[in-house]
Amino acid sequence: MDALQLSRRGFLKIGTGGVLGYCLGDHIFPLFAEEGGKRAAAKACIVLWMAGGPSQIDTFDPKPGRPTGGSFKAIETAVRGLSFSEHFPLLAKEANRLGIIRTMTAKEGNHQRASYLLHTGYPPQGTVIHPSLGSTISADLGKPDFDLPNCVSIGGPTAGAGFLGANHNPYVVSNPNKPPDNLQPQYGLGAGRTDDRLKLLEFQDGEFARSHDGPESDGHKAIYRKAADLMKSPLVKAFDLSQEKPEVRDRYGRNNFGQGCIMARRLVESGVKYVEVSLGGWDTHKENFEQIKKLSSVVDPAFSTLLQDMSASGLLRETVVVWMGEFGRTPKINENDGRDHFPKAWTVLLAGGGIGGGRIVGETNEDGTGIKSRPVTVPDLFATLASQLGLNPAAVKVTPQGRPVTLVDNSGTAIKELVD
Amino acid sequence: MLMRNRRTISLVAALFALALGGGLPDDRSSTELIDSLTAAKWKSLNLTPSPKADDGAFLRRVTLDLAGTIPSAEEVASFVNDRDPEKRIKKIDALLASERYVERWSTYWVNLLVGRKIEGGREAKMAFAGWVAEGVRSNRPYDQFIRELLSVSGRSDEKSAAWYLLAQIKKGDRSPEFIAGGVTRTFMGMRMQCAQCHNHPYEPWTQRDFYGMTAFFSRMAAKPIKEEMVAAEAKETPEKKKKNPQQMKQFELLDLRRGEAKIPDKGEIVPPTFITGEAMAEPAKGNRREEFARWLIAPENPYFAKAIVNRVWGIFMGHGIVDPIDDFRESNPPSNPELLDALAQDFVKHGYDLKYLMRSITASVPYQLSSSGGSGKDLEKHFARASLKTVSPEQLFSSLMQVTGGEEIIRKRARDRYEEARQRLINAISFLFENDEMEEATDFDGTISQALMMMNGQLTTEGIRLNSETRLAEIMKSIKDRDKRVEIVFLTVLSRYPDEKERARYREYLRSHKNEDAAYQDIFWTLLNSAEFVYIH
Repeated sequence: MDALQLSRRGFLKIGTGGVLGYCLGDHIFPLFAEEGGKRAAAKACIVLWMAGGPSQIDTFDPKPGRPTGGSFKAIETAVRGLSFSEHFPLLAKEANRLGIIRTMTAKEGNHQRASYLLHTGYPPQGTVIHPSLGSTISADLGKPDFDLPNCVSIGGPTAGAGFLGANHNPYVVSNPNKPPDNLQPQYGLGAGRTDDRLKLLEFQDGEFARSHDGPESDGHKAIYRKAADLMKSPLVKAFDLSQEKPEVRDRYGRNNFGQGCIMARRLVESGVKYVEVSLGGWDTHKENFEQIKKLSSVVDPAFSTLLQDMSASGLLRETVVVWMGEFGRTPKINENDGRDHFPKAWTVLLAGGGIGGGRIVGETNEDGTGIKSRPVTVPDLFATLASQLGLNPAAVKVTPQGRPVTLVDNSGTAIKELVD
Repeated sequence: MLMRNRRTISLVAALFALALGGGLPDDRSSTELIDSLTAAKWKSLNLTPSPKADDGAFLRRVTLDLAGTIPSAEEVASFVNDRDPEKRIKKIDALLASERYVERWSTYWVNLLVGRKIEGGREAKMAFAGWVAEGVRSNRPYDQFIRELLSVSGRSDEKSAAWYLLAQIKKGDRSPEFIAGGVTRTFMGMRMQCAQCHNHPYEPWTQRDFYGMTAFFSRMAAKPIKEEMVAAEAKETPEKKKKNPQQMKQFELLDLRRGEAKIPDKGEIVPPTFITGEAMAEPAKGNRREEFARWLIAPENPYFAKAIVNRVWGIFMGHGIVDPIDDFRESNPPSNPELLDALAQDFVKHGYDLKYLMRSITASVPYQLSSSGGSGKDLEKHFARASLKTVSPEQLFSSLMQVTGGEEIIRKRARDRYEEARQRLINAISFLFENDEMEEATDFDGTISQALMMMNGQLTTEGIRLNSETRLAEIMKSIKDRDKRVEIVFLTVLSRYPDEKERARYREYLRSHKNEDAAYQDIFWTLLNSAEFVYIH
């Protein structure tokens, strides 16, 4: 297969330290993005990451009247026969934009391992550090000279670039309510001053690179160039939410997640390829219902407004949006009024980027204790996202140690029910 | 005369022993072993090692590695100009005896064992750090240190070592498996975690092996100690309690009489079994954890000494003999098995003395090689050239403090809230190094956020102010000659003298700049942001 031949031909003399720069992505992947044959439906991806593992029964796969159903009521949605928890009235109205996977299934019940799996498509193996989806998208779809970072994480750090190298690590914005730290020199140095310094730096690093030629010097140079470009770029205003109308900011919700969704939209509008917005607190081993009610009241306005906004501007057609956590929660309610980890069957929502709206994939049984039909694995999910973005799931990258790794695990198949 | 050189004595003794028909006596020191076994490898692979690192590079490297910070300009100048042929080994000994050594290595162990963030909060981490620091300061034998770490029982407010295991006992989250995976990785250098769910894809470990190890931790439990009890025992008055409402939660770490390791989905119970295959002897002398700790540190356990020797080697050399340093497996063999074995044996012979090991490595020929030069394939892998190493957040912070004179400044400004201010700054840097992965927190691997921090961040900006007590301001005040000023800036930031090209360039820059004071700030800034500053070379 072309991929394997190319990769073994040895572009890949990469030194220690894992700083690959862009060489890997540039040399191999543009070929693969086109090879797929069909034009990519989506140009970018937004992931709404629900850290802790949200309970599917108390959100999007309710079991009203069952002993496992819990205390929430179920409400109808814009899709006939589909119900959500009563705490998602706004999102219920947007259900015809959503692809609802109710039978996500995996084997990882540990937070760290499951989080790795849901970010990279692979379970942690120790021998290879797989790149996250965001880093892969940055490497394969992002233009190397683009001013803004191609992979952004709002709310906290997230899975990194692994063997793809530091260049594709996510750029982290911890608080979307204020512009990211250090984008400008303090004490308002004139632009000329920064340029003078960068010229000196080029000289100084040039000396070092002469005696220490290798990925560390190259990587350092590349990162500083990107940082300098970012400082100067007019696109930086994507990070500035004060440019949005107050009514809009109200509609998303005046909290970090809601505002983070606005920032994600602005970044994608500016050309960023991957943005992750995280909301934690879903690990409800106790007081499950109080906590989920609170979290739902944050997600409901933010997610529904994001869908409406992006749909109105046409952006939704070109952007895949994913709502997910690392696993679901047990149908059985424990003695602390909580639910525990449950990777056996849980819910993931998709929207935009060519995903068919108003479609339900898979069915859990009456009590939610198991899958009745159509299990969906994490590789299946990743194969779906990859194809919508125009990436070949079978494309091979070779790690610095010489191990070939496919973008998506071979067992994954795109979910036909969601893509036409 | 010939006999004065210690190495010559050993060589002659070895020749005699050979001549008398015995094997080579193994009374060579670790340094001698390192030197001869790496030289032999280089010869067999036709590698030409890089030249010896110059004094400035050596001093900077060894100060960062042993003491977690960079040397001051005065230290560099005095070291470089010192004529004593023994100056390098004397410097090593001085660093090993310093308080900074204790700080640097306590921090390393605490971060490795409980991570930068800890369940149980800051106080728990500080209590644990206190116990670790004691061990580092007294150079406690490594086997005893680990033995206590794994087999300790009791209340966390009496036995701070307990926090290592307590920090990993989570409710409803398969803790014994998690701990077993962590323990085998950290102390035996083996990444068995995949065997948790299925037989390992490439190595001979089975799921049964993994659960056999898990079984040693299946009876461990953490009992919360009621706050009223703690208060009562501390004889707290109601007034005292009001002043300090946030009583730190304490636990008792103990072993129950029941609890087994079960393979999920199969329900099969696996009895405690060592990775080497033997089951735990019944009746056991101590509880399961004590038995495990006893087996782990026993000289017959082939993994324990090799794992720590390889880890320390990897930290100092930038590349393990087995690399990654905690990934021992058949398909990842050591690049120099004789060296690994010899060092491990000598380490055990010297009572698991970490200072002896570190001294031996830093005094060796390969450690003191330059990071530039040499010829042949894979020089760094075979230690024929020094690797470029990235700094940890703590090393970066300390270096920035050193270079800017920041420590005194914070002390003056923050006064009695110095610790708090210092911690806040470290957190700000550490945040940039966080990732969500299973790995230990990464180093300064060059993300945009880190570059922006170095360029525009508070530490840099404050650190080059001229109307303040910064190092730069001092230099400007006490030295008036242009060239000399540049020289001191180089010694301060890069621990070396500028070469001719650099002198010329910066002389030119100063001459042509409208505001000469600002120009010095630019030069300082430039060196601070250079690759040379942020890598250990």
